[in-house]
Amino acid sequence: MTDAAASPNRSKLPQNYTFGDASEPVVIHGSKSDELGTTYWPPRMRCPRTGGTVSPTTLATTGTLWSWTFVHLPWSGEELPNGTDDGYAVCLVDLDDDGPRLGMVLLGDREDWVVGMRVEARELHFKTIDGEPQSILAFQRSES
Amino acid sequence: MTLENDVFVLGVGMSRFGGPYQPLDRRIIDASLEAIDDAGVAFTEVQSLYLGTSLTASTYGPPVVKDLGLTGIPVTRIENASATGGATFYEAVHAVGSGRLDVAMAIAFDDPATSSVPDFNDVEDISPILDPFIPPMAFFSMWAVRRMADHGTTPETLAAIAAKNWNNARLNPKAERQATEEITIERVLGSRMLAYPHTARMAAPQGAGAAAVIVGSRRALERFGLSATVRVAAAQAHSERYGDGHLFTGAIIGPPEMVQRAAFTAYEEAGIGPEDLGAIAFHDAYAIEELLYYEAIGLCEPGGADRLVHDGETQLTGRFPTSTDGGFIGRGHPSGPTGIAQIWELTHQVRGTAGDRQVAKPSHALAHIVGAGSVCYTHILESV
Repeated sequence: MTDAAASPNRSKLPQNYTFGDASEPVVIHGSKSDELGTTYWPPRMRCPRTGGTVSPTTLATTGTLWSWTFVHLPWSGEELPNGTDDGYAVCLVDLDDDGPRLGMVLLGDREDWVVGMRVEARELHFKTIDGEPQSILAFQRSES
Repeated sequence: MTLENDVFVLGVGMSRFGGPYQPLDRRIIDASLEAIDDAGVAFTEVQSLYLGTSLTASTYGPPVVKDLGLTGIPVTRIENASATGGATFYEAVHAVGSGRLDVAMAIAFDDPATSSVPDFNDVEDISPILDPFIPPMAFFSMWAVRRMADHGTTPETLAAIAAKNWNNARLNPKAERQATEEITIERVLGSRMLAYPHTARMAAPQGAGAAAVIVGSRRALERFGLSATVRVAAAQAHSERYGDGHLFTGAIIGPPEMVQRAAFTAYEEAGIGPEDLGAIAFHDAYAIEELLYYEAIGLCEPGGADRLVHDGETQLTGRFPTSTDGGFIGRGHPSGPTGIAQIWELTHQVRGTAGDRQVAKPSHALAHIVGAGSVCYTHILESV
Protein backbone atom coordinates (compact mmCIF):
# COMPACT_ATOMS: atom_id res chain seq x y z
CA MET A 1 0.00 0.00 0.00
CA THR A 2 1.10 3.55 -0.63
CA ASP A 3 -0.96 5.19 2.07
CA ALA A 4 1.50 5.30 4.91
CA ALA A 5 1.66 9.09 4.91
CA ALA A 6 -2.04 9.47 5.58
CA SER A 7 -3.38 10.73 8.89
CA PRO A 8 -3.50 8.20 11.71
CA ASN A 9 -7.05 7.09 12.27
CA ARG A 10 -8.92 4.68 14.42
CA SER A 11 -12.44 3.75 13.49
CA LYS A 12 -14.53 5.61 16.02
CA LEU A 13 -17.32 3.58 17.55
CA PRO A 14 -20.75 5.03 18.18
CA GLN A 15 -21.63 6.16 21.67
CA ASN A 16 -22.96 3.46 23.99
CA TYR A 17 -22.13 0.64 21.65
CA THR A 18 -22.04 -3.04 22.47
CA PHE A 19 -20.89 -5.96 20.39
CA GLY A 20 -23.12 -8.93 19.69
CA ASP A 21 -22.86 -11.90 21.99
CA ALA A 22 -19.92 -13.96 20.82
CA SER A 23 -21.83 -17.10 21.61
CA GLU A 24 -24.40 -16.20 18.96
CA PRO A 25 -22.87 -16.50 15.51
CA VAL A 26 -23.26 -13.61 13.08
CA VAL A 27 -25.66 -14.37 10.26
CA ILE A 28 -25.62 -12.59 6.89
CA HIS A 29 -28.77 -13.24 4.92
CA GLY A 30 -28.65 -13.32 1.14
CA SER A 31 -30.28 -14.92 -1.87
CA LYS A 32 -29.20 -17.76 -4.12
CA SER A 33 -30.20 -18.09 -7.76
CA ASP A 34 -32.11 -21.36 -8.12
CA GLU A 35 -30.78 -21.77 -11.66
CA LEU A 36 -27.18 -20.54 -11.41
CA GLY A 37 -26.34 -20.95 -7.75
CA THR A 38 -24.93 -17.40 -7.69
CA THR A 39 -25.39 -15.68 -4.32
CA TYR A 40 -26.42 -12.06 -3.84
CA TRP A 41 -26.49 -9.50 -1.05
CA PRO A 42 -28.71 -7.94 0.12
CA PRO A 43 -31.49 -10.48 -0.55
CA ARG A 44 -33.06 -10.12 -3.99
CA MET A 45 -36.61 -10.81 -5.17
CA ARG A 46 -35.42 -12.33 -8.47
CA CYS A 47 -32.08 -13.38 -9.93
CA PRO A 48 -30.44 -10.27 -11.50
CA ARG A 49 -28.73 -12.42 -14.12
CA THR A 50 -31.60 -14.62 -15.32
CA GLY A 51 -34.75 -13.01 -13.95
CA GLY A 52 -35.51 -16.42 -12.43
CA THR A 53 -36.37 -17.41 -8.90
CA VAL A 54 -34.10 -17.15 -5.87
CA SER A 55 -34.12 -18.83 -2.48
CA PRO A 56 -33.04 -17.45 0.89
CA THR A 57 -29.55 -18.43 1.96
CA THR A 58 -26.96 -17.54 4.55
CA LEU A 59 -23.61 -16.21 3.37
CA ALA A 60 -20.09 -16.68 4.65
CA THR A 61 -19.16 -14.28 7.47
CA THR A 62 -15.50 -14.23 6.51
CA GLY A 63 -13.88 -12.84 3.43
CA THR A 64 -11.16 -10.74 1.81
CA LEU A 65 -10.90 -6.96 2.04
CA TRP A 66 -11.41 -5.56 -1.48
CA SER A 67 -10.97 -1.96 -0.36
CA TRP A 68 -11.53 0.48 2.50
CA THR A 69 -11.63 4.19 3.30
CA PHE A 70 -11.83 6.38 6.36
CA VAL A 71 -14.80 8.76 6.29
CA HIS A 72 -14.33 12.03 8.16
CA LEU A 73 -17.97 12.23 9.16
CA PRO A 74 -19.87 11.51 12.37
CA TRP A 75 -21.98 8.44 12.83
CA SER A 76 -25.60 8.95 11.94
CA GLY A 77 -27.10 11.44 14.37
CA GLU A 78 -23.87 12.23 16.15
CA GLU A 79 -21.60 15.24 15.78
CA LEU A 80 -17.87 15.45 15.38
CA PRO A 81 -16.24 17.78 17.88
CA ASN A 82 -14.57 20.73 16.17
CA GLY A 83 -10.93 20.25 15.35
CA THR A 84 -10.93 16.49 15.69
CA ASP A 85 -9.91 14.06 13.01
CA ASP A 86 -12.57 11.57 14.00
CA GLY A 87 -14.66 9.47 11.74
CA TYR A 88 -15.14 5.86 10.89
CA ALA A 89 -13.89 3.38 8.35
CA VAL A 90 -15.94 1.47 5.81
CA CYS A 91 -14.97 -1.38 3.54
CA LEU A 92 -15.94 -3.58 0.65
CA VAL A 93 -15.46 -7.27 1.32
CA ASP A 94 -15.57 -10.26 -1.03
CA LEU A 95 -17.20 -12.99 1.04
CA ASP A 96 -15.76 -16.49 1.03
CA ASP A 97 -17.35 -19.42 -0.80
CA ASP A 98 -17.72 -17.36 -4.01
CA GLY A 99 -19.97 -15.01 -2.10
CA PRO A 100 -20.96 -11.49 -3.15
CA ARG A 101 -19.13 -8.26 -2.45
CA LEU A 102 -20.71 -6.15 0.25
CA GLY A 103 -20.05 -2.88 2.01
CA MET A 104 -19.85 -2.55 5.79
CA VAL A 105 -18.27 -0.60 8.60
CA LEU A 106 -14.63 -1.54 9.24
CA LEU A 107 -13.28 -1.78 12.77
CA GLY A 108 -9.75 -1.41 14.04
CA ASP A 109 -6.79 0.87 13.43
CA ARG A 110 -5.48 2.42 10.27
CA GLU A 111 -2.36 0.28 10.26
CA ASP A 112 -4.56 -2.84 10.33
CA TRP A 113 -6.23 -2.11 7.02
CA VAL A 114 -4.57 -3.62 3.98
CA VAL A 115 -6.24 -4.51 0.71
CA GLY A 116 -6.39 -8.28 0.45
CA MET A 117 -6.37 -8.97 4.19
CA ARG A 118 -8.66 -11.58 5.75
CA VAL A 119 -11.65 -10.19 7.65
CA GLU A 120 -14.54 -11.51 9.71
CA ALA A 121 -17.95 -10.07 10.52
CA ARG A 122 -19.15 -8.86 13.91
CA GLU A 123 -22.48 -7.50 14.98
CA LEU A 124 -22.51 -4.02 16.51
CA HIS A 125 -25.43 -2.73 18.59
CA PHE A 126 -25.91 0.89 19.62
CA LYS A 127 -28.51 3.57 20.07
CA THR A 128 -28.81 6.53 17.73
CA ILE A 129 -28.86 10.04 19.15
CA ASP A 130 -32.65 9.74 19.08
CA GLY A 131 -32.44 6.70 21.34
CA GLU A 132 -33.41 4.27 18.64
CA PRO A 133 -31.70 0.89 18.93
CA GLN A 134 -29.74 0.00 15.82
CA SER A 135 -27.67 -2.98 14.76
CA ILE A 136 -25.18 -3.12 11.97
CA LEU A 137 -22.66 -5.58 10.67
CA ALA A 138 -19.02 -4.61 10.85
CA PHE A 139 -15.84 -6.29 9.68
CA GLN A 140 -12.50 -6.55 11.42
CA ARG A 141 -9.17 -8.21 10.74
CA SER A 142 -9.57 -11.93 11.12
CA GLU A 143 -7.60 -13.41 13.99
CA SER A 144 -7.62 -16.88 12.47
CA MET B 1 -30.08 2.70 -30.09
CA THR B 2 -28.50 4.80 -32.83
CA LEU B 3 -29.66 7.95 -34.56
CA GLU B 4 -31.53 7.38 -37.81
CA ASN B 5 -31.24 10.96 -39.03
CA ASP B 6 -28.73 13.77 -38.66
CA VAL B 7 -29.11 15.90 -35.54
CA PHE B 8 -27.32 19.23 -35.14
CA VAL B 9 -26.66 21.39 -32.10
CA LEU B 10 -28.25 24.71 -33.03
CA GLY B 11 -27.67 26.69 -29.86
CA VAL B 12 -26.40 26.41 -26.29
CA GLY B 13 -26.69 28.52 -23.15
CA MET B 14 -25.95 28.26 -19.46
CA SER B 15 -25.97 30.30 -16.29
CA ARG B 16 -22.85 30.57 -14.23
CA PHE B 17 -22.88 27.64 -11.81
CA GLY B 18 -22.77 28.68 -8.16
CA GLY B 19 -21.63 32.27 -7.63
CA PRO B 20 -23.74 35.04 -6.09
CA TYR B 21 -27.32 34.12 -5.26
CA GLN B 22 -29.78 34.23 -8.12
CA PRO B 23 -33.26 32.73 -8.06
CA LEU B 24 -33.32 29.46 -9.97
CA ASP B 25 -36.15 30.83 -12.16
CA ARG B 26 -33.80 33.60 -13.31
CA ARG B 27 -30.99 31.17 -14.09
CA ILE B 28 -33.35 28.97 -16.13
CA ILE B 29 -34.69 31.83 -18.24
CA ASP B 30 -31.25 33.36 -18.78
CA ALA B 31 -29.75 30.04 -19.92
CA SER B 32 -32.74 29.37 -22.18
CA LEU B 33 -32.67 32.80 -23.79
CA GLU B 34 -28.95 32.42 -24.39
CA ALA B 35 -29.56 29.14 -26.20
CA ILE B 36 -32.40 30.62 -28.25
CA ASP B 37 -30.25 33.60 -29.21
CA ASP B 38 -27.29 31.32 -30.01
CA ALA B 39 -29.47 29.12 -32.23
CA GLY B 40 -31.10 31.95 -34.10
CA VAL B 41 -34.38 30.09 -33.88
CA ALA B 42 -37.43 31.51 -32.10
CA PHE B 43 -38.94 29.53 -29.22
CA THR B 44 -42.15 29.33 -31.23
CA GLU B 45 -40.30 26.95 -33.58
CA VAL B 46 -39.44 24.49 -30.77
CA GLN B 47 -41.70 21.45 -31.12
CA SER B 48 -40.99 19.68 -27.85
CA LEU B 49 -39.39 20.75 -24.58
CA TYR B 50 -37.55 18.44 -22.18
CA LEU B 51 -36.87 19.66 -18.64
CA GLY B 52 -34.21 17.94 -16.56
CA THR B 53 -34.07 18.22 -12.78
CA SER B 54 -33.24 15.81 -10.01
CA LEU B 55 -33.62 17.98 -6.93
CA THR B 56 -36.64 20.24 -7.39
CA ALA B 57 -40.23 19.62 -6.34
CA SER B 58 -42.38 17.71 -8.81
CA THR B 59 -44.36 20.75 -9.88
CA TYR B 60 -41.32 22.93 -10.51
CA GLY B 61 -40.16 23.69 -14.02
CA PRO B 62 -43.10 23.84 -16.41
CA PRO B 63 -44.52 26.98 -14.74
CA VAL B 64 -41.13 28.71 -14.99
CA VAL B 65 -40.68 28.14 -18.70
CA LYS B 66 -44.06 29.74 -19.40
CA ASP B 67 -41.97 32.90 -19.70
CA LEU B 68 -40.42 31.47 -22.87
CA GLY B 69 -43.85 31.21 -24.51
CA LEU B 70 -47.06 29.25 -24.06
CA THR B 71 -47.04 27.50 -27.40
CA GLY B 72 -48.88 24.30 -26.52
CA ILE B 73 -45.96 21.94 -27.18
CA PRO B 74 -45.24 18.80 -25.11
CA VAL B 75 -43.28 19.60 -21.94
CA THR B 76 -41.72 16.61 -20.19
CA ARG B 77 -39.70 16.45 -16.94
CA ILE B 78 -36.82 13.99 -16.81
CA GLU B 79 -34.85 12.77 -13.76
CA ASN B 80 -31.87 10.40 -13.71
CA ALA B 81 -29.71 11.40 -10.71
CA SER B 82 -26.39 12.99 -11.69
CA ALA B 83 -26.99 11.96 -15.28
CA THR B 84 -30.21 13.97 -15.54
CA GLY B 85 -28.76 16.54 -17.96
CA GLY B 86 -27.30 13.80 -20.15
CA ALA B 87 -30.66 12.02 -20.16
CA THR B 88 -32.51 15.21 -21.05
CA PHE B 89 -30.19 15.95 -23.96
CA TYR B 90 -30.43 12.32 -25.09
CA GLU B 91 -34.23 12.45 -25.25
CA ALA B 92 -34.22 15.70 -27.22
CA VAL B 93 -31.59 14.35 -29.63
CA HIS B 94 -33.45 11.09 -30.23
CA ALA B 95 -36.76 12.90 -30.71
CA VAL B 96 -35.15 14.67 -33.66
CA GLY B 97 -32.97 11.74 -34.74
CA SER B 98 -36.01 9.49 -35.04
CA GLY B 99 -37.57 11.89 -37.50
CA ARG B 100 -40.51 12.71 -35.21
CA LEU B 101 -39.47 16.35 -34.75
CA ASP B 102 -37.33 18.97 -36.45
CA VAL B 103 -36.54 21.17 -33.44
CA ALA B 104 -36.34 20.14 -29.77
CA MET B 105 -35.05 21.95 -26.70
CA ALA B 106 -33.54 20.56 -23.50
CA ILE B 107 -33.28 22.70 -20.37
CA ALA B 108 -31.91 21.38 -17.10
CA PHE B 109 -31.55 23.03 -13.71
CA ASP B 110 -31.17 22.50 -9.99
CA ASP B 111 -30.40 24.36 -6.80
CA PRO B 112 -29.07 21.92 -4.19
CA ALA B 113 -29.37 24.56 -1.46
CA THR B 114 -33.14 24.62 -1.75
CA SER B 115 -33.61 20.98 -2.62
CA SER B 116 -36.71 19.29 -1.25
CA VAL B 117 -35.22 15.88 -1.91
CA PRO B 118 -33.80 14.11 1.16
CA ASP B 119 -30.17 13.15 1.27
CA PHE B 120 -29.65 9.79 -0.40
CA ASN B 121 -28.10 8.49 2.77
CA ASP B 122 -31.30 9.20 4.72
CA VAL B 123 -33.25 6.75 2.61
CA GLU B 124 -32.99 3.99 5.15
CA ASP B 125 -35.52 1.67 3.62
CA ILE B 126 -33.09 0.75 0.85
CA SER B 127 -30.80 -1.10 3.21
CA PRO B 128 -31.26 -0.14 6.85
CA ILE B 129 -28.12 -1.79 8.11
CA LEU B 130 -25.79 -0.12 5.68
CA ASP B 131 -26.62 2.94 3.69
CA PRO B 132 -26.55 5.57 6.43
CA PHE B 133 -22.90 4.70 6.98
CA ILE B 134 -21.49 4.63 3.47
CA PRO B 135 -21.94 8.01 1.75
CA PRO B 136 -21.25 8.27 -1.99
CA MET B 137 -17.80 9.78 -1.46
CA ALA B 138 -16.77 6.67 0.46
CA PHE B 139 -17.53 4.41 -2.48
CA PHE B 140 -15.36 6.50 -4.79
CA SER B 141 -12.62 6.65 -2.18
CA MET B 142 -12.67 2.87 -1.96
CA TRP B 143 -12.15 2.77 -5.73
CA ALA B 144 -9.12 4.97 -5.14
CA VAL B 145 -7.64 2.87 -2.34
CA ARG B 146 -8.05 -0.24 -4.47
CA ARG B 147 -6.41 1.51 -7.42
CA MET B 148 -3.49 2.50 -5.20
CA ALA B 149 -3.03 -1.13 -4.20
CA ASP B 150 -3.33 -2.48 -7.75
CA HIS B 151 -1.35 0.09 -9.74
CA GLY B 152 0.61 2.20 -7.27
CA THR B 153 -1.48 5.30 -7.94
CA THR B 154 -0.66 8.06 -5.44
CA PRO B 155 -2.75 10.85 -3.91
CA GLU B 156 -0.49 13.22 -5.88
CA THR B 157 -1.90 11.84 -9.13
CA LEU B 158 -5.45 12.45 -7.97
CA ALA B 159 -4.41 15.93 -6.86
CA ALA B 160 -2.89 16.61 -10.30
CA ILE B 161 -6.22 15.82 -11.94
CA ALA B 162 -8.08 18.06 -9.51
CA ALA B 163 -5.56 20.91 -9.91
CA LYS B 164 -5.93 20.72 -13.70
CA ASN B 165 -9.69 21.00 -13.40
CA TRP B 166 -9.50 23.90 -10.92
CA ASN B 167 -7.16 25.74 -13.27
CA ASN B 168 -9.28 25.06 -16.35
CA ALA B 169 -12.21 26.52 -14.41
CA ARG B 170 -10.24 29.74 -13.93
CA LEU B 171 -10.55 30.19 -17.72
CA ASN B 172 -14.30 29.58 -17.70
CA PRO B 173 -16.40 32.53 -16.51
CA LYS B 174 -19.36 30.21 -15.99
CA ALA B 175 -17.52 27.84 -13.65
CA GLU B 176 -18.46 27.73 -9.98
CA ARG B 177 -14.88 27.66 -8.72
CA GLN B 178 -12.96 30.79 -9.69
CA ALA B 179 -9.62 30.55 -7.91
CA THR B 180 -7.73 33.84 -7.84
CA GLU B 181 -4.39 32.13 -8.30
CA GLU B 182 -3.12 28.88 -9.77
CA ILE B 183 -4.09 25.81 -7.80
CA THR B 184 -1.13 23.55 -7.12
CA ILE B 185 -1.00 19.87 -6.29
CA GLU B 186 0.15 20.85 -2.80
CA ARG B 187 -2.90 23.04 -2.23
CA VAL B 188 -5.20 20.23 -3.32
CA LEU B 189 -3.49 17.77 -0.98
CA GLY B 190 -3.52 20.30 1.85
CA SER B 191 -7.26 20.82 1.91
CA ARG B 192 -9.58 19.08 4.37
CA MET B 193 -9.68 15.30 4.11
CA LEU B 194 -13.18 14.01 3.23
CA ALA B 195 -12.61 10.28 2.83
CA TYR B 196 -9.09 9.03 2.31
CA PRO B 197 -7.51 9.75 -0.15
CA HIS B 198 -9.97 12.38 -1.40
CA THR B 199 -9.63 15.90 -0.03
CA ALA B 200 -12.23 18.64 -0.38
CA ARG B 201 -10.44 20.10 -3.42
CA MET B 202 -10.67 16.71 -5.18
CA ALA B 203 -14.48 16.78 -4.98
CA ALA B 204 -17.15 18.67 -6.92
CA PRO B 205 -18.96 21.68 -5.43
CA GLN B 206 -22.76 21.82 -5.71
CA GLY B 207 -23.94 25.34 -6.41
CA ALA B 208 -27.10 26.18 -8.34
CA GLY B 209 -27.20 26.26 -12.12
CA ALA B 210 -29.14 25.95 -15.36
CA ALA B 211 -28.16 25.00 -18.90
CA ALA B 212 -30.03 24.72 -22.20
CA VAL B 213 -29.52 23.37 -25.70
CA ILE B 214 -31.55 23.41 -28.91
CA VAL B 215 -31.13 20.64 -31.46
CA GLY B 216 -32.51 20.40 -34.96
CA SER B 217 -32.75 18.26 -38.06
CA ARG B 218 -31.30 18.86 -41.52
CA ARG B 219 -34.77 20.02 -42.55
CA ALA B 220 -34.64 22.61 -39.78
CA LEU B 221 -31.30 23.91 -41.07
CA GLU B 222 -32.77 24.35 -44.53
CA ARG B 223 -36.00 25.87 -43.26
CA PHE B 224 -34.29 28.49 -41.10
CA GLY B 225 -31.34 29.09 -43.41
CA LEU B 226 -28.83 27.96 -40.77
CA SER B 227 -25.36 26.55 -41.31
CA ALA B 228 -24.73 24.23 -38.36
CA THR B 229 -21.21 23.61 -37.20
CA VAL B 230 -21.81 20.78 -34.72
CA ARG B 231 -23.46 17.42 -35.42
CA VAL B 232 -24.41 14.87 -32.78
CA ALA B 233 -22.49 11.87 -34.11
CA ALA B 234 -23.54 9.49 -31.33
CA ALA B 235 -26.05 9.45 -28.48
CA GLN B 236 -25.87 6.39 -26.25
CA ALA B 237 -27.71 5.45 -23.04
CA HIS B 238 -26.68 2.38 -21.04
CA SER B 239 -27.23 0.80 -17.64
CA GLU B 240 -25.51 -1.88 -15.56
CA ARG B 241 -24.94 -5.49 -16.44
CA TYR B 242 -24.20 -7.96 -13.69
CA GLY B 243 -20.53 -8.71 -13.12
CA ASP B 244 -18.20 -10.05 -10.45
CA GLY B 245 -18.13 -7.82 -7.39
CA HIS B 246 -21.41 -6.20 -8.32
CA LEU B 247 -22.86 -3.89 -5.66
CA PHE B 248 -26.60 -3.56 -5.15
CA THR B 249 -26.59 -0.96 -2.39
CA GLY B 250 -25.56 2.64 -2.00
CA ALA B 251 -25.24 5.58 -4.35
CA ILE B 252 -22.61 3.78 -6.31
CA ILE B 253 -21.84 4.21 -9.97
CA GLY B 254 -20.49 1.32 -11.89
CA PRO B 255 -19.25 -1.08 -12.87
CA PRO B 256 -16.61 0.41 -15.22
CA GLU B 257 -17.81 -2.05 -17.87
CA MET B 258 -20.91 0.13 -18.29
CA VAL B 259 -18.79 3.20 -19.05
CA GLN B 260 -16.61 1.21 -21.43
CA ARG B 261 -19.63 -0.26 -23.24
CA ALA B 262 -21.31 3.15 -23.61
CA ALA B 263 -18.13 4.73 -25.00
CA PHE B 264 -17.27 2.00 -27.47
CA THR B 265 -20.85 1.77 -28.71
CA ALA B 266 -20.70 5.51 -29.25
CA TYR B 267 -17.41 5.19 -31.17
CA GLU B 268 -19.05 2.59 -33.39
CA GLU B 269 -22.05 4.83 -34.01
CA ALA B 270 -19.82 7.80 -34.84
CA GLY B 271 -17.40 5.75 -36.92
CA ILE B 272 -14.37 6.88 -34.93
CA GLY B 273 -12.03 5.63 -32.22
CA PRO B 274 -10.80 7.19 -28.99
CA GLU B 275 -7.71 8.49 -30.81
CA ASP B 276 -9.99 10.87 -32.74
CA LEU B 277 -11.19 12.72 -29.64
CA GLY B 278 -9.94 16.27 -29.20
CA ALA B 279 -11.88 17.23 -26.06
CA ILE B 280 -13.55 15.09 -23.41
CA ALA B 281 -15.99 15.92 -20.63
CA PHE B 282 -16.08 13.43 -17.76
CA HIS B 283 -18.19 12.71 -14.70
CA ASP B 284 -15.42 13.74 -12.32
CA ALA B 285 -17.39 14.19 -9.11
CA TYR B 286 -14.26 12.81 -7.41
CA ALA B 287 -10.78 12.78 -8.93
CA ILE B 288 -10.48 8.99 -9.00
CA GLU B 289 -13.38 8.84 -11.44
CA GLU B 290 -11.58 10.81 -14.13
CA LEU B 291 -8.49 8.64 -13.76
CA LEU B 292 -10.41 5.37 -14.11
CA TYR B 293 -12.54 6.64 -16.97
CA TYR B 294 -9.41 7.47 -19.04
CA GLU B 295 -8.87 3.74 -19.29
CA ALA B 296 -12.53 2.77 -19.52
CA ILE B 297 -13.12 4.88 -22.64
CA GLY B 298 -9.86 3.71 -24.22
CA LEU B 299 -7.59 6.76 -23.99
CA CYS B 300 -4.84 4.42 -22.79
CA GLU B 301 -4.25 0.81 -21.87
CA PRO B 302 -5.38 -0.55 -18.47
CA GLY B 303 -2.99 0.78 -15.83
CA GLY B 304 -1.74 3.57 -18.10
CA ALA B 305 -3.88 6.43 -16.84
CA ASP B 306 -1.37 7.67 -14.27
CA ARG B 307 1.22 8.14 -16.99
CA LEU B 308 -1.31 10.06 -19.10
CA VAL B 309 -1.69 12.50 -16.21
CA HIS B 310 2.00 12.89 -15.47
CA ASP B 311 2.88 13.35 -19.16
CA GLY B 312 0.43 16.24 -19.37
CA GLU B 313 -1.65 14.51 -22.04
CA THR B 314 -4.94 15.56 -20.42
CA GLN B 315 -4.05 19.25 -20.12
CA LEU B 316 -5.55 21.82 -22.53
CA THR B 317 -2.41 21.50 -24.65
CA GLY B 318 -2.23 17.71 -24.42
CA ARG B 319 -3.31 14.93 -26.73
CA PHE B 320 -6.59 14.32 -24.86
CA PRO B 321 -7.75 17.57 -23.20
CA THR B 322 -10.19 16.59 -20.45
CA SER B 323 -12.64 18.58 -18.33
CA THR B 324 -11.70 21.67 -20.32
CA ASP B 325 -14.35 23.80 -18.61
CA GLY B 326 -13.21 22.67 -15.16
CA GLY B 327 -15.30 19.51 -15.08
CA PHE B 328 -17.41 18.67 -12.06
CA ILE B 329 -14.54 19.64 -9.76
CA GLY B 330 -14.09 23.13 -11.20
CA ARG B 331 -17.23 24.04 -13.13
CA GLY B 332 -19.47 22.47 -10.48
CA HIS B 333 -22.19 19.86 -10.32
CA PRO B 334 -25.64 21.18 -9.41
CA SER B 335 -26.94 17.75 -10.49
CA GLY B 336 -29.66 18.31 -13.13
CA PRO B 337 -27.91 20.74 -15.51
CA THR B 338 -24.42 19.26 -15.40
CA GLY B 339 -24.84 17.03 -18.45
CA ILE B 340 -26.04 19.94 -20.59
CA ALA B 341 -23.20 22.13 -19.30
CA GLN B 342 -20.88 19.49 -20.79
CA ILE B 343 -22.64 19.93 -24.15
CA TRP B 344 -22.34 23.71 -23.81
CA GLU B 345 -18.59 23.41 -23.33
CA LEU B 346 -17.95 20.83 -26.04
CA THR B 347 -20.08 22.74 -28.55
CA HIS B 348 -17.89 25.79 -27.97
CA GLN B 349 -14.73 23.67 -28.24
CA VAL B 350 -15.86 22.11 -31.53
CA ARG B 351 -16.88 25.50 -32.89
CA GLY B 352 -13.59 27.04 -31.79
CA THR B 353 -15.30 29.60 -29.55
CA ALA B 354 -14.08 28.46 -26.11
CA GLY B 355 -11.94 31.54 -25.52
CA ASP B 356 -8.84 31.23 -23.33
CA ARG B 357 -9.43 27.52 -22.73
CA GLN B 358 -9.81 26.65 -26.43
CA VAL B 359 -7.96 23.48 -27.35
CA ALA B 360 -6.70 22.65 -30.85
CA LYS B 361 -10.06 22.70 -32.65
CA PRO B 362 -11.38 19.12 -32.23
CA SER B 363 -13.01 17.13 -34.98
CA HIS B 364 -14.79 15.10 -32.31
CA ALA B 365 -15.56 15.62 -28.63
CA LEU B 366 -17.07 13.19 -26.13
CA ALA B 367 -19.36 13.87 -23.16
CA HIS B 368 -19.58 11.15 -20.52
CA ILE B 369 -21.90 11.27 -17.53
CA VAL B 370 -23.17 8.66 -15.11
CA GLY B 371 -25.94 8.56 -12.55
CA ALA B 372 -26.32 6.54 -9.39
CA GLY B 373 -28.35 3.46 -9.82
CA SER B 374 -26.60 3.27 -12.21
CA VAL B 375 -26.85 4.66 -15.73
CA CYS B 376 -24.43 6.10 -18.27
CA TYR B 377 -24.92 8.55 -21.14
CA THR B 378 -22.26 9.13 -23.78
CA HIS B 379 -22.54 11.68 -26.58
CA ILE B 380 -20.08 12.47 -29.34
CA LEU B 381 -20.16 15.85 -31.06
CA GLU B 382 -18.60 16.25 -34.50
CA SER B 383 -17.35 19.30 -36.33
CA VAL B 384 -19.15 19.77 -39.67
